[in-house]
Amino acid sequence: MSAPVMDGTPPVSAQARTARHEAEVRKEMRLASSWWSRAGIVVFIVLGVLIPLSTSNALTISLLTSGAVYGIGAIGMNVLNGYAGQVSMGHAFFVAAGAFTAVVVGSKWHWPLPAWIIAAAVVGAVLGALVAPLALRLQGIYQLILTLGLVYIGIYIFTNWTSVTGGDNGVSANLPLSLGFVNFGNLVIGNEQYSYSQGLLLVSWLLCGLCVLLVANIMRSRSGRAMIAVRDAGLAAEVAGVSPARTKINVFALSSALAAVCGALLAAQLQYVSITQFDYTLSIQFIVMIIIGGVGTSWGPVIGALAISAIPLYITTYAASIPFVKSPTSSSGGFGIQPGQLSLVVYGLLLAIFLVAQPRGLVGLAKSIVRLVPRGRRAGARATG
Amino acid sequence: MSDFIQLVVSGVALGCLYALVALSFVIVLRATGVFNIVQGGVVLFSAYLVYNFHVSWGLPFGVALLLTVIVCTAAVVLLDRVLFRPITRHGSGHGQFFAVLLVGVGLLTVCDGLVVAIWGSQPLSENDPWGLSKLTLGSIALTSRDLSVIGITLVLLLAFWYLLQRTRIGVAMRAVASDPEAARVQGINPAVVSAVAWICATIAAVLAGVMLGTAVGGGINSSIDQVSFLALPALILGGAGSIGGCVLGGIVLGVLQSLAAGYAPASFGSGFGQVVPWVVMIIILVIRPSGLLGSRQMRRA
Repeated sequence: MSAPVMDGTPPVSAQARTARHEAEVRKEMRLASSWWSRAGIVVFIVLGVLIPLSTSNALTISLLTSGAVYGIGAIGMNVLNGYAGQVSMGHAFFVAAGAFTAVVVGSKWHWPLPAWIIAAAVVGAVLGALVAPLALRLQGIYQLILTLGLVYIGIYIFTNWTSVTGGDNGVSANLPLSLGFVNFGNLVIGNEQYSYSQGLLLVSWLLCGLCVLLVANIMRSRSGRAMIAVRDAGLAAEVAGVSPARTKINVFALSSALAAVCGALLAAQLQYVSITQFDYTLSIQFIVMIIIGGVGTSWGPVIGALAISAIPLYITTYAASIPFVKSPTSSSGGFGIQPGQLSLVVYGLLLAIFLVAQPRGLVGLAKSIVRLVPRGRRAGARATG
Repeated sequence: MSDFIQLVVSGVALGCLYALVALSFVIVLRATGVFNIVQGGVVLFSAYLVYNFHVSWGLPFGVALLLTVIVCTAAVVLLDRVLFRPITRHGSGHGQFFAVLLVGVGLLTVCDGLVVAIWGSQPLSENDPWGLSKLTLGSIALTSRDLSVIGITLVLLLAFWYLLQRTRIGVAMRAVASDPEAARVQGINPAVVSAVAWICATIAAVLAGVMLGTAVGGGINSSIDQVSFLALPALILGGAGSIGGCVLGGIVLGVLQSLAAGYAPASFGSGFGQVVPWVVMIIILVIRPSGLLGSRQMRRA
C-alpha cells in the first residue's frame, strides 16, 4: 500500500470549495454579469424612450422600428438555434401566423394593443408546440427540410384563406396602439404631439427590451439550462433527469411565440400584410441576423437585426449613388442590379464572411475588443504592485 | 384515361428533374460528408450559361452544354476549396454542418442576385433544343420535351450507376462515403474522389437546369433554383440517399404533384400541386421516419 501522492497545491477544504462553487453559480445566475452589460441596459432604456420622442426623420424611425421588430423574431430564432441547437427554416411561417392573427384581433375586432400582441404570441406558441413533435424526430438537414416544408404549406394555406389574408392581394392592417389609459398611436406629452410611427417605435423598443430580458431570464432558469444541456450533451442531460422531448417542445413554443409577436408588430409597421412577404428568404434573414449579431448571446440578435435592417433601407435610399444599382423606379434591361437583389447578395456575402472569419458575430467582436482593455490594465497593476 | 397518362408522363418528367437535383445533393453529401445546397446555384447558372453559349454566342448545343459543365465544375470546386474546406477542415460536427449549409444558402442568394444583374429579370427563352411539338399516340398527346427529359435522365442514371458500381473510381467513392479513414488507409486519394464527385454532381445539376429552362410557359428565370428546395422532399422520401432512393422519391413526388394539379377541384385553391410533395413528405416522416428505402441512422434526432 503506498501513500496517496500529494501534489503541490495546498489542500482546499470542502467548505471553501463549496463556497467558491456557490459564488461561481451566483455569478452565472446574475442577469447582467458585467458592468458593461448593466450599463448597456441603462443606455438601452434611456435611448429607447428618448430617440422615438426626439426624432421625426422617417428613415431613422423606419430603421429603428425594423431593428426592434425583426430583433424580436431574431431573439426567437436565437432561442431555437443559439441556445437549443435546433435548426429551422420555418420561422417565416410563424411570423406570418402572428401577422394574420394581429390583423384579425386588432384590425377586424378592434381589440387594444396588449390583446393582439398576446393573441399573436399564443397562436405562435400553440403552432410551435404542434410542429415541435414532428421536427424533433429529425436532426440536421432533415429537420431543416421539414421546417422548410412548413413555409410552403403555410403559403398555400394563407394564400387560399382569402377571408382572413386577402390571398395574393394582401390585407390592410390598422392596428390600434392603445393601452386604454395611453394611446401610442396618437401620443401627446405636454404640448408635443407624436405620430403613429413614433409611437410604434416606442412600443417596439419596449417590447424588444422586454423580450431580451424575458429570454435572458428563461435562460438562467431551470428550463433554460435544460435547453443548453440538451444542446451540448443530450444523453447526459437525459441521465440528469431532463426530458429532451419536453425541452425541445418548450424551445419551439417559445421561439415561435417570439416570431409571431414579430409578425404582429410587422403588420403594425407596414399597415399591410401579404403572404408574399413570408417566403423562406425571411427565415434566412433571421438566420443571418443571429449569426452576424452573435449566436447564443442576449443582445446579438437585436444588434444583428439592426445591421440587417439597415442594408436594404440604405441601399434603396442611396441607390442612385451606388455603382451598378438601378434606381427602384427604372425598368429592367441593361447591366445593373435591383436594390432588393443587392441586399440578398450582401446578406449572403456577410453570412459567408462572418461564418469563416468571425463566427461569434458582432457581439463576439465587441467582447474581444472589450477584453483587450482590462487585460492591459491588469498587467499594469501587476507591474507596479 | 388519356388525360391520366398525359399527367403521369409529365409527372414522371417533373420527377426526373427532382431526382437529378436530389442526386446532385446526395453525391456531394456522400463525398464530403456535409450537405451543400450550392448545387441549386449550379442549376440556376447552368440554365443561363447554356442560353448564353447556345443562343447569344451561337455555339452548338452540345458544345454549350460541355462548356457549361466545365465552367460550373471549376466554379464549384474553387468554392469548395476556398470557402467550404476552411469550415470543415476541423471536423464535420453539428456546427460545421450548419455553417456549410448557411454559406451555401448565402451563395444561393448571391447567385439569384447575380443572374438578374447579368441577364436581367425578364424570362429568357432557350431556342428549345427538343422542340415543344406533340407526339401523338392514338388519343394520347405527349410533349416530346417530357419524353426527352425522361430519356436523358434515364441515360444519365444508368451512366452514374455504371460509374458507381462497376468502375474502380466508383468503388473508391463508395468506400470514402462509408468509411473515409479506412478508405485512405487503402490508398484511395480523397482529393481525386471528391473531384469526381463534384463533376458528377455538377453534370446532374447542369442537365436539370437546362431541362428546367425548357419548361412550358416558364423559360429561364431567376427563380428556377426554387427546384433545389422542391427537390428536398424527394431526398427525404427516398431515404438514406442512394441513387435509387432519389429516383424513386423524385418520381413518386413528381407524379403525385402532377396528378394533384390535374385533378384537384378548383375549391382546393391555387398552388395545391406545389404543396402536395411537402404534405406527402410530412406524412411519410410521421409514418416511416427512415424514408421509403432508407436506414435511419443519420436522420433521427
